[in-house]
Parts: sequence; structure tokens; C-alpha cells
Amino acid sequence: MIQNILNELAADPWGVAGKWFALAPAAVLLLAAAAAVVARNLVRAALALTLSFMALGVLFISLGAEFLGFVQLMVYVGAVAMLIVFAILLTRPDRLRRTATALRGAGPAAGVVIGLVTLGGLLGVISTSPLAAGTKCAPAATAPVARIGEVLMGSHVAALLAVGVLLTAALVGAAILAIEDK
Amino acid sequence: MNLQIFLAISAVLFATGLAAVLSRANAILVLIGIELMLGAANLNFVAFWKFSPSPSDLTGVMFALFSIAVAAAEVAVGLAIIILVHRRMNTVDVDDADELKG
Amino acid sequence: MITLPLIPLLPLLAAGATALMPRGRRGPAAGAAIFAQAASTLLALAAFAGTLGGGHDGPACLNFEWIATGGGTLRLGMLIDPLSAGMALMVSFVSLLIFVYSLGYMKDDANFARFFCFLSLFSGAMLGVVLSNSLLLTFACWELVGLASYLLIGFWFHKPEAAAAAKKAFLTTRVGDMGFLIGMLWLYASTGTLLFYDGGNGCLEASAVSALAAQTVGFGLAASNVIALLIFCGAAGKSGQFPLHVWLPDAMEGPTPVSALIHAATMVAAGVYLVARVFPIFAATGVTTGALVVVAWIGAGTALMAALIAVAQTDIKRILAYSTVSQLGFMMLALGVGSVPAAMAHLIAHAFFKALLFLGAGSVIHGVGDEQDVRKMGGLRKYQPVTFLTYAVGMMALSGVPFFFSGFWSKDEILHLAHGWPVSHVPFFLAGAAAFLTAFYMTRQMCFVFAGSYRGGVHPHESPGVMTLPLVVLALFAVGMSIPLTPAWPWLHGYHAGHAPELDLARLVDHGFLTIAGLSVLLAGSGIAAGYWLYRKFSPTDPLERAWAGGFRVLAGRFFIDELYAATIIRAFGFLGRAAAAIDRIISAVTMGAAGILARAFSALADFFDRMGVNLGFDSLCGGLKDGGDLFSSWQSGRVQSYLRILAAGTVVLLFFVGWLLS
Repeated sequence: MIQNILNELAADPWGVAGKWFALAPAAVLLLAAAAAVVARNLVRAALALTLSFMALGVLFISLGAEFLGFVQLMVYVGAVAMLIVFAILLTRPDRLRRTATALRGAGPAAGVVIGLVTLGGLLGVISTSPLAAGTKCAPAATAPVARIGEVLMGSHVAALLAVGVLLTAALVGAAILAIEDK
Repeated sequence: MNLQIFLAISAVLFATGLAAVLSRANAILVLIGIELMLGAANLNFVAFWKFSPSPSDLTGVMFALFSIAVAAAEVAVGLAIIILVHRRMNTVDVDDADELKG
Repeated sequence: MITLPLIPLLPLLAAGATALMPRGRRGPAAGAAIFAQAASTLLALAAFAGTLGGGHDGPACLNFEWIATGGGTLRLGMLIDPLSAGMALMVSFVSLLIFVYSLGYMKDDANFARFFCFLSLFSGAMLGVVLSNSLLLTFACWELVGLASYLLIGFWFHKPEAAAAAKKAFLTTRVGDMGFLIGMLWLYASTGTLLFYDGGNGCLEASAVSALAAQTVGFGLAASNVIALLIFCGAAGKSGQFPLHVWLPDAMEGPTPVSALIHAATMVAAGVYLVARVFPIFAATGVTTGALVVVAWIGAGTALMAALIAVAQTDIKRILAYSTVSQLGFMMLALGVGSVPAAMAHLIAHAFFKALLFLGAGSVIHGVGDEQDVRKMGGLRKYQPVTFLTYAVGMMALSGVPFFFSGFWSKDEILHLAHGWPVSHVPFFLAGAAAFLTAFYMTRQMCFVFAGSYRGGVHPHESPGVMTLPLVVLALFAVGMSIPLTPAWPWLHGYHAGHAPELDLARLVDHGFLTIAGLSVLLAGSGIAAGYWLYRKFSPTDPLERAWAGGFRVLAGRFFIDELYAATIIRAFGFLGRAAAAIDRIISAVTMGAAGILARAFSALADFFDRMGVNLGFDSLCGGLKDGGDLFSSWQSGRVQSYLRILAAGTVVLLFFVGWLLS
């Protein structure tokens, strides 16, 4: 794969650049995710996460799933990230000190190692899998909203309803959990 | 642009999220890691949909859609729990919740 | 015939009813006993009347099946013939009189009801012996009679002498009964039946008897003689013949009515009756050979021995006891020389006058405040006239005063027969000497008790009517029985033989008869004269003792037979018992000790294994488990993230593995 990229770059650098520009959101995504994970400041982590969510949404849109991308932006960026920020605010320690989000010790190291191993394994699978290697070109796939609507209300209506119930339960549950009993 | 690129991206994102879950001590950061893993999965679904032989079958997109919805619910409840724990034990350090220690 | 079983059953039922009654009900106890006895007497009288006609072809039997075994059946039965009817009538009548006597004699005793219960038991068993047609039934009733005797001798059981005497009686007769049992079993094995008369198949009937006589066992003895001698062992024990006579004098420890009934009139006569009953077997090889010879010798010897001992005794009842032994010897002699009627005649006559004498002695004892030593009595003819007169009648009958007294006729008949015995004349001389001594010691006793002046302490008084009436009745019989027993009217002989008697005065003047009769009159007269001459004046030491102190001591010591037995047989048995006990102790100690040691060793071994093996193993196992558990639990940090790490690592490994498998 690397050989192909290098060949392509040698052949047509601006074309490659243009091609690779389409992966800019992906780069932002990965970098922001890394930043979120490594950050020592919680708020910084939360903001980095928000950035990564936004990049993911853009990626979805560029992949042709516009509706999904917008949903991603609305839900994740608009709600989840907000929630996380609120939670960070609400769980500040009484003494104003930086949360010790240290990455020292055997445990965290093991965690990182496991993550790297996982990554290695996944990448190996991806690169060796004939299914993944077979498809070269990005076909023109669209997910029109009307189609999504049809599917939602048609074959996936049960899932839709279930999700509705789930969300209701989660709402009620979260409210109950978080209510301060004064 | 091929499938492998996107799969690789999602793999890296997933590994990042996994590392965060397994190594960070703050509960909220663990939650952030979980969200990153979910996002990676969603990306996987969409990539496979994009490069599938029958893109008119919107199953990949639908799955990712529902995943987002569930993830939202899960975050809400999870944060409520973190807040509750913080109220009780005045900490959000995951290592401090060891009452099931044997 | 149908009422035959009732004769023994009624007194037995009375005994049972008395036993079941609440304690101490005197009236019902005595009433039941006397009523049952009177009913038995009447039934016996009816049976007796039935046999008077004569001409019966053998005894009338009532046989029944008792046990049906696999091989055959065991049959028992009852019979009526002149022998048993006469005996049954005598037994029941004398018993009735003594029951009435006991009402007065035992009036002050606390165990009145128990006395009458045992008396009824005895009476029923004795009648069972008399009326039985089966040797087995005889044996069973024989043992019951022995039991009743034991209970009655030891009636005052709190007296050690009485308890010892009862035990002695039972054990001594038991020795004889062993021979009886063996003889009975042998008879059963040889003939296959124990019924006496069974329509030709009985063991006393011609076919069985001749078969027994023909059989010989070791030493050239005929089977019938051996069986007869074995059965004679039982008879000797019960009738107090030498050497089993030792219990009878000691049996005087019982109350006087018991002595009168059992040890004078009835039970001791059972031995004589048994021999008379089983006479065909005794006489199987001929009247002058075999077992009967032994019987005659033992009878004659016992008669003389007991008479000698009686001469030196000082207890009023003991004199009479030895007299009984002596007279039983006479009866056995009569049987031995071959005459059942003569023996039965003397038995019945003896029953009446000996019962009379014992009851009279009881009256005397009662009147002098329970004193029994004749040396402390005397002059009682003035204070107890009725007793004195009746006692005199009995004494004369026993001594053989002629003509008016039954004893003369029956004893004379025996002497006559002994004289004519072809085997030997010695028993005749022995019997003659015994007859002389009988008159002598009875006169001695009469002098001590009734003559002279009173030497005792209390003021003597005559006994109440309930006691003297039976005395009078018995005295009348003692006199009256002389009529059937005279040879002029050989009624009893004819009765036994089964034909009607006839009056034959010619027999009175028969030469042989007159000689012997004169001899016996001479013996009786000289005996009475000698006794009166020596004892008419009381002296503290006996004249005989003064004459020959050593001999007198031997006689007074009863030939020291009891002491001999005690020194030899009883000591031997005591030794055997102690040896057996010692062996038992040793064996049990050894086995118990060994068992104990074994048990302890096993338990120690088990304990060792338990402690070392089980406990250690188990403890270490548990310890290991606990340590392992502690180790595992220490891994549970309770921290979610570490769990997650392990989870993720494991999942990754698994995925790698699956991937490797799939590739």
C-alpha cells in the first residue's frame, strides 16, 4: 500500500494532494481524538472531543451519508459534548486543583499497550483482508433523506420505536439518578 | 479513496478510544474514550456502506443512526451516574470506586 | 366315665380360683377347696361303686389325643379299675377330712388362703397320678405333686429350717425322678406307647410286656427289669425308701395337716401305687426273679432301718415320720413278694391310721402351745381325752393289735407272704423285727406324751371340734377297715381280682395263717410290753441310752446318713459348681480381656490414622484452599479499569487466536 502511495505521489503530486485533501477531516479527527485522550486538563479534553466529533460529522457528509453527518453534529456535538462539559463542571473538586489525570503507572501503561496491540491487529486484518482490498474506487452512493425516512418508518420501525422507548427510559433514569434529594 | 483507508482510520480511532478507557483514571475521560470507540464503529459502518455492492440498501447508515441515538442515551445515564458518584464519594477517580474489592 | 376327669380337675380349679382371688380371702379359699374336694370324693365314690360289681374285663379307659406330631400322636388317658378306684376314694376322702381339720389348725395363720390353694393343688395332682392311664400323665402329675409338697413343706418359708427341708425334699425326689424319666423314655422307645391300657396296645398289656421281657440289655438283664428298676427309683424317692429316705423326716417342718396328708397318707403312697400300677412290667420275668426281688429287699431293709431310727427320736412328728418310712417299706416288701392287693390293703389301712396319728399329733402340738419335743409333754390323757383315745386307736392299729384294728390284718398278710417267699426268708425276719420295733416305739411315744404327768410350761387344752371330729372319723375307719381286710372275707383281694368276695371263715383257721398271726400277735404284744415297761416312768435320759450309749447315739443320729450325703455327694456337687464357676470366670475374663485389648488396639490405630491421615490431610487441604482463595481474592481489586484491561487483553488474545485459526 505504501509503495502505491509513493508511486502515485511521484506520478502526480498535486492530484495526490487533492486526493488526500479529502482525508483532511480524518486527520483532524485523529489528532483531536489523540489530544482528547492525552490531555491533562479535562476541559481541554472535552473541547478536543468536540472537535473530533465535528470532524467525524464532516467525514460522514463527505462519505455521502449527509443525514447521518448532520445527525452526528447535532447529537454528538450539540448534546453529548455539552453534557460532558456540564458533567465536568459539576464534578469539579472542592479544592481547586487540576484533576490528576496522570498517565503514570503500570496500569495505564498496560492499557496503552493493549490499545497498540489492538491497533496492530486491526491494521493487520485490514491490510490482509481480501474483502477490504478488493474495492478501489469510491462508488456513487447516496443516502437520500426520503429514503432514510422510508426505511425508518418501514422496515426499521420496530427499532425506531425501541430507540424511542430507550431514550425515554434513559431520560427518566438520568433525571432520577441526578436529582439531588434535598 | 478506498475502503482500507477508512477502515484504517476507524481502527486508529478505536485504538485511541480503547487506550483512553484502559489507561485514564478520570471517569469522564473513560466516557470520552467510550464515545470515541462508538464513533469509530459508526465510521466503520458508513465506510462499509459506502463501498458495498448495493448502496441502495441503507442498512449501514441506519445502524450508525441508531448507534448515535443509543450513544446519546448512554452518555446521559453515564454522566448522571458519574455525578451521583461524585456526590457520594467526592471523587471521579475510577480507582477510588473499589468497594467490591475482595 | 365322663365325669372321670372331673375328679382331679375340680381341686385344680379350686386351687386356680384361690390363686386368682384377692389376697387373704379366707372364707372363699377354704370354701372352694373343701367344696371341690367333697365333690371329688362323691365322684370317686360313684366310680368306686361302679367297679364293685366285678367281672370287668380290664380297666375302663378314657383315652384322648394330646399332641399330634409328625410321626404319630401322643395320647393321654385316664382309667378306672379296682386299684385306682379304691386309691382315689381313699385319697379324696382322707384329703377331705384333713381339709376340714386344717380349718381349725391353720385358723391363726396369716397365709390361710395360700395354704388351701396349695392343698387343692396337691389334691388335684395326686388324683391325677391315681387316675392316669398314661405314664406321661402320671409323670406330669407326679412332678406337680412334688411341687405341691415343696410349697407345703416350705409353707413357713421364713423359717430357714423349713426352706431347707423343702429344698431337700424336692432335690432328693428329683434324683429318683431322673430314674423315673429315663425308665419312662426307655419304655416309650421299646413299646412305642405310654398308655397303660389301650385295647391291647398299651404298654402294660400282654403283648408289650412279653416283648419287654424277651428283650435283653447288657449284663443279661431283661429290658422289663431295667425299666422297672428305673421307675422304682422314682417310687423309692417319693416313698422314702433307702437311700432316698432322707427328706421325709425333715419334711415335718411343714404344718401338721401337710404332714398328715402328704407325708403319711397320700403322696408317699404314690410310690407304692406307681409300682402297683406298673406291676405287670415288674413281674414280666416272673414274680420271684428280676426287679421285684430288689423291691422286696429294699422294702424290708428300709422297714427295719427306719424302725430302728424311730426308737431314738424325741420329736413327736419325727417318730411318726420314721414310722411312715418303715410302713412304706412294708408295702414295698408286699409288692416285692408279688402281691399287689396286700400292698394296697396295707396302704389304705396305713393311710387312715397314719393320718389319724399325725392329726392327733397336731392336736397335741396345738394343745401344748406348739411344743414338739415329747420329753416336754406328758400326762396329756387328762387334758386331751378325745385326742388321747383316738391316738390310742391309731397306735394300736399301727402296732398290729389284733382283730379289731386294720393294721393287724394288713401287716399280718404281708408277714404271711414274706414267710412264703421262695427267694429268701431274711426279709421275713427283717419285717418281723420291724413289727416288734413298731409296737415298741409307738408305746414309747404314747408313754412320753400321754402317760405320767405334764412336764411342759403352758396349760394344755383340748383342741376344738373342727379338729377332733376328723380324728374320730379316722379312728372309726381305722377300726372299720379291719372288716374288709380280714382273710375271712378277702374282700379287697377279691375286689382287686375283679370277682365278688365271699365270706370264708375257714381261712381264719388255716394253719399257715394262724402261725403267722400268732407270731405277729406275739411281736406286737412283746413290743408294747417292752415299751411300757421301759417308759412308764419318765426319766430325762432314755433307758436305751443308758443301756447302750453308742448304739443309741447312732440311732438318734439316724445312722448318720444325712451327714454322709452332706460330706460326699453334696460336697462333690458344690465342688463341681465352684469349678464350673471358676472356669466360666476365667473364660469370660480371658475373652473379655482379649476383646478389650483388641478393641483398644484398633481404636488406637484408628485414632492414629484419623489424626495423621484425615486431620492433617484435610487440614492441609483446607489450608491450601483457603490460601488459594485468599490469593485469588487479592486479585479482586474492585477497580473497574483493571478488570477492563484484563478483559480487553483477553479479547485481543482471543481475536488473534481466532484469526490465526482462520488463516
